[in-house]
Amino acid sequence: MLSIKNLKAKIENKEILNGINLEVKPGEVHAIMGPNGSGKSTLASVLTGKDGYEATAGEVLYNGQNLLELSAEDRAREGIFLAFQYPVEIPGVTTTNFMKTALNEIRKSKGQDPMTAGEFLKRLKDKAALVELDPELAKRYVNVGFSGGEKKRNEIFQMAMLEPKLGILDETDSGLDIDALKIVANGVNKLRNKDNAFIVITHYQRLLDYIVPDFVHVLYKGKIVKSGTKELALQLEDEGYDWIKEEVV
Amino acid sequence: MDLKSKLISEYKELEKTLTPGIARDEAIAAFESVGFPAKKNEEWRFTNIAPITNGSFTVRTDSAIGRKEIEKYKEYNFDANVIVIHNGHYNGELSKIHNTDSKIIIGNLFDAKNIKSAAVKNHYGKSALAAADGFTALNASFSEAGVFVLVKKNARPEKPLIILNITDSNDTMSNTRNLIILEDNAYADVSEVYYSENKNVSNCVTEIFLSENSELHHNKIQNDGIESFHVGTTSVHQEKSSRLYSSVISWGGAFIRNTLNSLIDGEGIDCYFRGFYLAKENQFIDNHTLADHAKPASHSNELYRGIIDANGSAVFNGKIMVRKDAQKTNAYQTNNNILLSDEASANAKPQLEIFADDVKCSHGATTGQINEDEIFYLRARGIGESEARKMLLSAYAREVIDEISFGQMRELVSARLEEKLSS
Repeated sequence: MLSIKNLKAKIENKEILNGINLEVKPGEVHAIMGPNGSGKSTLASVLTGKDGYEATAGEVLYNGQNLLELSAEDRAREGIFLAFQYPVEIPGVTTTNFMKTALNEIRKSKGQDPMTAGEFLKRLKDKAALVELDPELAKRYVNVGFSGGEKKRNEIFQMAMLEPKLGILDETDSGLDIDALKIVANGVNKLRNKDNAFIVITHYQRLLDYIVPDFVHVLYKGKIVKSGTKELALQLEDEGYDWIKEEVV
Repeated sequence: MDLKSKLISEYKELEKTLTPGIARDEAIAAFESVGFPAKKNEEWRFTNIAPITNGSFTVRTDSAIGRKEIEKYKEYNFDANVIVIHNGHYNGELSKIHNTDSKIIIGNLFDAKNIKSAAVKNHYGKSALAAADGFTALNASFSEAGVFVLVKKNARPEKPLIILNITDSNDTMSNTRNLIILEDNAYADVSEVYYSENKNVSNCVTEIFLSENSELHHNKIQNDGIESFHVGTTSVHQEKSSRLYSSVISWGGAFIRNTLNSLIDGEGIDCYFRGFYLAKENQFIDNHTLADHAKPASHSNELYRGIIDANGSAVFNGKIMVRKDAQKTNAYQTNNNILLSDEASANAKPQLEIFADDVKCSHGATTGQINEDEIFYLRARGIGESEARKMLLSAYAREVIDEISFGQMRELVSARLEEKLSS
């Protein structure tokens, strides 16, 4: 599904990613861990096409297409979803209207007709239940006045609504208490199937107790320096990142 | 001959034919003395009126408009009372007033029975003073058409009122004048709608008196063509516990200057000023507002938002005055401008003059671009960039437009907004 080869990227002339290699297949969950400043969020931004994040070398193939040539909206239409670390507040736009527009723009790009009002409302209700989000929240302006936990839950709700092929969770666990974390993880687990994949970016192992990854990668100084299975995450939890840093040196 | 002299001599020629009963001679004398506002006048500092004063405009206008033409205007067909004013002439034949309540008067201000009535005598020219500025003085000199609304104690018209102002004459200046009086506990919903094409000046004055516990929803919607000039003053006097909901939507015309004042002259008053303006190629839109708190324990709340594109420009000047006696005043004001191009400009000037010590007042003004993080957030969900921009601009404007309480009008304005943001 996703094949990243020797990806290098910079922001404002500062090299952040120094040759990333990663293969993600349908049905897999990959966790990317690493100390602060290792390039985790930059990788998410480069994969989703944020302006200002410039790939300088390497390639990213997504279902055989050169991902880096696509606009942010086209990546989303092709099934890539980013759950933001810091979800944006959008006054004046309700979550309902936002999701309706997004779904219909995605459908339009595939030559499909807009969803009927009935279909849309059913999906909205079902998916809100999936992430235990009060459907009333969807009538409010996107994230305006939401608590940190509600914002993160709203990200997972949007992911459920759009049913992406590749979901990228950027530090979705940050700022969540344990109950909210369980709800978010539970939502992600319900969305997992053999055809989709997830990249879970996190600083802490805690989330991975609930979203159990198939692979764990450690990002350090813009490179994946170690890959393993879920046991690697536990080792990092116990021993911290220092031994990794020493190994790299 | 310059415009000032031309208009004064037109007054001398027309004097005998103008409806008597109002202080026209005093008004033209005031105009002769103050003239058109100069740039050194603080209230007109950012407002270049040379395109008007360099023109040769006459107050002599003709009106001929048929039912077919007027029916093209969507507002004409709304479920409302509609008064048609064409080229500054009141058209009774095309106007539609459904009113059987003797406690409500809706008609031409300059009909003999209205202009001579005690209510008009007591209120006409009392809020918008002819001596205040040259445009108001000109209006008081020449006005021959306009709407009179009197809603007596406890009454409420069944339908909203639309004053449909259509101007298509060339090189003319029309001076329309409205007077709205709500007695105690009365209610009204009045929309002034403007459509103009060709090169002309609309110089409009509306005076509003709100007695105790009355409520007025007042909309001014400016859809003028790109050659038109509009100078308008809305002057409100609010008494105890009255409520004013004003919405001003401006997206037409070469030049717009709106002055909106409310004298908050009692306790427990609510005064809401809402405005949205969209200035594009070669357009100038200027809004001057004043919330004048003269008595204690009242509330004013103002939100004006603008979008300025191409070489358009906008001025917002909002003043909150809290006089010495107006303790416990709550007064808030916000002005936001979004500039869509490098040549677009906005001048925002909030002014607070507070002479009481126990008040809550705040103001904030911002000028900037669309937030790129918001754009990316929408794009990351599959929404195309231009659609994302449109969505955000629309949301920004709708926070103002959604407060228009007359449903059909609000929907029409919203639909126009979408059209304008798409073009």
